[in-house]
Amino acid sequence: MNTGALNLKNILEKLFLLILPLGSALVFIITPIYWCVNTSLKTELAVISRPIQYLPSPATFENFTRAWRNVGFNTFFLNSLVIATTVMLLLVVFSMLIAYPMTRYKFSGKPVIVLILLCTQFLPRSMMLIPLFMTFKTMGLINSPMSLVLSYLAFELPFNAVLMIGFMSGIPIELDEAAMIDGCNRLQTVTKVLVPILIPGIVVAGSFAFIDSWKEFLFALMFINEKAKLTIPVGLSYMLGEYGVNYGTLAAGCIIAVIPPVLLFCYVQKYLVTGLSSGAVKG
Amino acid sequence: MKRSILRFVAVMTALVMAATVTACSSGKQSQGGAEPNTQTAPKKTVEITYWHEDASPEKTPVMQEIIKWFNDKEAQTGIKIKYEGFPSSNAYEKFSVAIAGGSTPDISGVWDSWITDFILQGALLKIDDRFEKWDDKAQFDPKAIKAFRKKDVAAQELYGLPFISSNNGSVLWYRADRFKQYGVNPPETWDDFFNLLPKINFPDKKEYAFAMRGGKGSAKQMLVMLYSYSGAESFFNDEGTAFLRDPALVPFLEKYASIFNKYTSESDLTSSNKEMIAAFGGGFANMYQHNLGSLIDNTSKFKDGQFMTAALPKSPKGYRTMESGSVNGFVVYKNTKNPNEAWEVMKHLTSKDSTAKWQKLVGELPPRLDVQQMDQVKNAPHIKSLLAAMNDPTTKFIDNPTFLPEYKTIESQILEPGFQSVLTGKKAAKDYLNEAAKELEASYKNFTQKFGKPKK
Repeated sequence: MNTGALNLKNILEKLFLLILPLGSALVFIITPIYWCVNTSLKTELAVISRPIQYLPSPATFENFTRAWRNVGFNTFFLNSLVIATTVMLLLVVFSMLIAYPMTRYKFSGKPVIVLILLCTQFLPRSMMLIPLFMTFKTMGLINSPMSLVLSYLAFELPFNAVLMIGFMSGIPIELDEAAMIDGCNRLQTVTKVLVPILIPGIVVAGSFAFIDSWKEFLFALMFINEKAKLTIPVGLSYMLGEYGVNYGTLAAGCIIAVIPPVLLFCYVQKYLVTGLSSGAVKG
Repeated sequence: MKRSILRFVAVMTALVMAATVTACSSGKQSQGGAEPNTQTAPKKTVEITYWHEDASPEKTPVMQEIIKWFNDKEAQTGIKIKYEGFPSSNAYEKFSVAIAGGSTPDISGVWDSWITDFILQGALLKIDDRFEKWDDKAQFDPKAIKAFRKKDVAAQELYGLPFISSNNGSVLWYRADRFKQYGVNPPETWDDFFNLLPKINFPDKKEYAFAMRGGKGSAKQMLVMLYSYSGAESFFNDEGTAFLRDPALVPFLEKYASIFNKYTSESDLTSSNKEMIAAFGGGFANMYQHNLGSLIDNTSKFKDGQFMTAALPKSPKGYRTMESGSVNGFVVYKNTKNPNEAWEVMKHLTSKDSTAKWQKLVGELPPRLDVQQMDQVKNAPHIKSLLAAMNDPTTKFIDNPTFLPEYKTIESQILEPGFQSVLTGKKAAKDYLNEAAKELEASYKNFTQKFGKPKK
């Protein structure tokens, strides 16, 4: 009887504390994704016709082909990939360049620098639009992907630099000193000692930079004119006409757009959890 | 120690430079499409940049074909058009930033509601002289040209040419097949309209009588309904009082709002034009009010004869009031270094062939009289009803106050949310109309003090 009651208690606990909350959260998250996938596999007529099809019948990849070839997602995808990857690489290097002296050297004004870095995060992007536009126009960078790389870098760097300072300050300076006693110069200390330990932090900073650059819309719309240079988020808006929406193609475009961030997350997940938690408690 | 710091910084800088070069070269790669053209084209070729304000998978190929016709004659004209298209949902912001940043194209398409704004910012080039000398001048419907001139509220000078949808007053789109099945006809009067709704409303089947636009852009539809009922002949009278003060509009708006969630879907509260058109296309609504721009979508979803248009009902005063002068078209920007070549491009874009090609796609009313005489226009059933209403000598036309600098703000912050409040019963129709009138009158007063009264 006691065992039975215990079992029932365990089952109820599992049901109410694990299965129901997780299940509800899963339904909440999965439903829009399911709807998007379902729509992307329907014909345009099936998307709007009644009764609503909860499974596409017949399923078609026509929307994906149309988005990739006709609408130009192959180009948008490549552009986004080049820009986001460039920003990610530059940002990791720059944030390390900021974090290293902030954690390895003693000088006055460190808290002020961190405060300034944090304060830049309060500026909304839209407020900087016209000044940046004028700057890039003067530099001849309007309609060049460099304008996006530079602006993303400028907006992403402060936050990621602060993150990197947190990660790097968690590594004892004695490790650097030990490496130097063993014959490493400063660059070797960074590359052979600090970087391997910093990998979770680098992954976190890099992932944030990549994903933010991948999904950014406003600057990409404003600084780029030619369709051949557009990025994925702006490309998606081409499916929204003045009077109508190509729902199937739009959904297919969305699926294509989320593939790289999802793959990235799958790959870096283990680093990401370690990185975020270590950044949170150290420094 | 110092040396190793310097080496560290040097290596890091080199890495950054290498990455930057990668980024630059990727940029150059994608720019490559334009560069060879410039190199291979004859030296004297002038490139005119054209911005398309409504690029979409349906419209872009047609516009690019029109441009190709022109570019094929590059050897003779010495002009080449460079096409750059932007999605309509964000085009206004794009164009506005370009104007503010002094980086406009040579020529672009514009929506009706942008033109006054761009004129007041001094961004556009006057084309009166050039238009006067053009042989095709007589082919343009004078009403459409006048509508474009009215966008320059103070001087009524010409800053562009209409391309399509001139005077495209809204119509009622209805399911002709279902109307036949239910034995009903499109409404002639407003009483007919309200009496018709229960006969074509089947909420159990998710088939509603009407699709209403309650979300983004709802003021456009709502105002057209009010124009039509009120029989107003101008938005503001000589004293600057808005027609919204007409006491007869209060019971009308109350009645119109009462059909929400009874003869319409509840989700119409947040519907923009896209959802409204999709509701009709999906068979969820039997009627809605919109301009002829819906044709592409409806044609793609229905067979011939399944849908039809009807003019909006007449006012109880016995005549019809229609919105006048919705004139999407082309403008040349003041910043252009090649105004003569830009004008040549504009002539091509508004030529008979270009207009006919575009009209065939969008189905709207062309401003060119020679295109209006083509079979594709005069035999189109959806245009017939509109033309009949427009050509009725008793019909009055009213201008939207889109020339007011604050109009967009009033529309998005007062007219649209206020209309939603009326639909949900949170605000009385009378309060809403008074509040909207007050804001619009204040804006009109500011405008007239600065620019004088708009010419009729």
